[in-house]
Amino acid sequence: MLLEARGLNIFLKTSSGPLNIVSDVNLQIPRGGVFGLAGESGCGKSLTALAMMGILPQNIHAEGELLYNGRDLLKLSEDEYRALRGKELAMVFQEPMTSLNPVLRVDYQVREMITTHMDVTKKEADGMVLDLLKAVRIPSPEKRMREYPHQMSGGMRQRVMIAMAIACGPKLLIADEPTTALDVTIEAQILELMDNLRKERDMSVLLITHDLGVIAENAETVGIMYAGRIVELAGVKELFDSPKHPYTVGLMQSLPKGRGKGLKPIRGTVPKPGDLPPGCKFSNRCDYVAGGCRKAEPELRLIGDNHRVRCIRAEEIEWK
Amino acid sequence: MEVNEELTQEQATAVQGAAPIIEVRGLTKHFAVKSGPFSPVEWLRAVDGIDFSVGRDTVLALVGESGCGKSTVARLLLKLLEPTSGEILFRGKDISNIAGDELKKFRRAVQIIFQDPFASLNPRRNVFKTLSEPMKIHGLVEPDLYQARVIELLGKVGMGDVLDRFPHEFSGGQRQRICIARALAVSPELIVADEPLSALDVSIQAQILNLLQELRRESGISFVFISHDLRVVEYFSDEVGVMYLGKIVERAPAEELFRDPRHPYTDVLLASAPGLEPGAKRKAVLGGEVPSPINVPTGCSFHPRCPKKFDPCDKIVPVLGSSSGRAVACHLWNPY
Repeated sequence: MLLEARGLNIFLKTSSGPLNIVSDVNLQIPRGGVFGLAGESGCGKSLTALAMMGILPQNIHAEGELLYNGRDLLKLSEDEYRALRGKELAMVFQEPMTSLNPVLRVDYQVREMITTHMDVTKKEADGMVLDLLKAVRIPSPEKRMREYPHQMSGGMRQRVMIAMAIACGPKLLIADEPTTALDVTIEAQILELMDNLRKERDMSVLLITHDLGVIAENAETVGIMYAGRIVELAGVKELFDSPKHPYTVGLMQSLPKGRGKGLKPIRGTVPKPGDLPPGCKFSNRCDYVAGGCRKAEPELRLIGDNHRVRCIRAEEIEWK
Repeated sequence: MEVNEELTQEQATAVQGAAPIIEVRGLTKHFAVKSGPFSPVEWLRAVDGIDFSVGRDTVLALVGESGCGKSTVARLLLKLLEPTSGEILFRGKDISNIAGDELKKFRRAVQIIFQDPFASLNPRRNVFKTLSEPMKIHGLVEPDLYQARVIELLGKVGMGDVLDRFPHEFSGGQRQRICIARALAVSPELIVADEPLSALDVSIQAQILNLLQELRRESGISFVFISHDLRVVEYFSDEVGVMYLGKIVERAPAEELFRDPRHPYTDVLLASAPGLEPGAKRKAVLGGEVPSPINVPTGCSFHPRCPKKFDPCDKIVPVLGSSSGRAVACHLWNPY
């Protein structure tokens, strides 16, 4: 395993004590594989990613174990982490406009990444910048590298972000909603690009998205998150062929599948982190809720070949 | 005497029923842009000569990528922008010169739901004020009935008695319900919905989509539904107009369009939408990006990206013709 989270908990400091916003996350990202993490806004998927990068906001901290090649990331000093970040672990964010510096040219921003982590001359670095922009298929890169972010389209900016992320040959690329701000045709291009780069450079990818379609196409293993918990964990085929958690089933039934085919939305709204129901956190919206659901929170238990579900009635759930 | 009057009214509605609510002819909107203080004025062709009409109880969807002009069309339909040329007929009457009472009537009949429910509700107004104001302006209900009517509206959109609460107390989905209730407050004939689902989570999208579907069934309101999500469009709309760079490149009944897309761009757009098949990689069929609407390519504006382009495409502008029985703006289907 390249990266393994064991009992990862994330807490938010509040005036009334720490609030547990991500609870008991266990996941494994294999070398060269794609792990998809899906869920709706506020489910904790981005915080999990930020915890892996060691860039949680000041008032939020993580506990548990995050083993990267056997080393616990949560025990690293800030200097040790800095040496790792960018070089071994890299991240691409959702909004390419806000994550690029608007007053610096693109080549400067990509070059900064290289000179921070590698001992190269400026000239060598310039050559590498050009190679990177070619690698992410930016047309006429010699010209575009001299531009500012505002002169580029959203798709081009996301390519620049990816170029920066892969600049130092990271082992793990964390992509947090990398295509959410983009149009479908551009989304398809960016996902294809990421897939090719992953294969060429032997990277692992943690793909975070709310779009089950993107997950279905790109991920090998999938974790579905709800209210700070992983509620279902399975191989992609298994998950889409026979989802076993009522929330996963609810998400799939919420997607329109053609004319006249009814939609069955999940009722209610996502509860706030401080206001979760007792027992199973999905119990107040679940169609399968039974007495036991409200008493104790279910474990993420193994029900099949590498298929884990946090639901006591998982065996009864039929899909389609 | 009275019977007679009612009859004529009925006849009038029958006639109205057949005629489109809104008809758009050669609608064009160009914006002047200057890239710097000394640079010359350039023209951004946001909407470039489009025609469509929306009948009673129908949903017309406009789809396309960002920058294709679909939101500008929404603003033009609401008379929030004045067209550069072309006309918009509301019940057969050009809206460009209407004023006074007629304008007020138009404003009542055509309502909008915006994309971002966080930005489209006044944070200082509680739900009662937000929902009763349109009734006040249009004098549709006696003041002492406001409260009852507001509660009725909230019931219609699946919300309880929340009259005294403010927008910040609600989630995105609930806010969008309030926005829908506000649009319904004046019993409109047409609702322009500009990406009403894109700011919402998947499970909430389905709730709102079901709500819109129900309202449609109950009230027969027509919609112009603007979206980039093809799954949603296929589910909700009767007719679809596919837009590219300010033009409608294909228009067809939803069922036909999704079963048998004719324009290469429609084809590519459908192929690019993610499905739910695990491992089924969609091909990034379309290279390049949408060109700037300031520098629209010659001929067919899609030709630089088109996988099927041939000789006349970069020279002759295709028109939205129907020689193949379908409205397609492409030389492949219409002899030039």
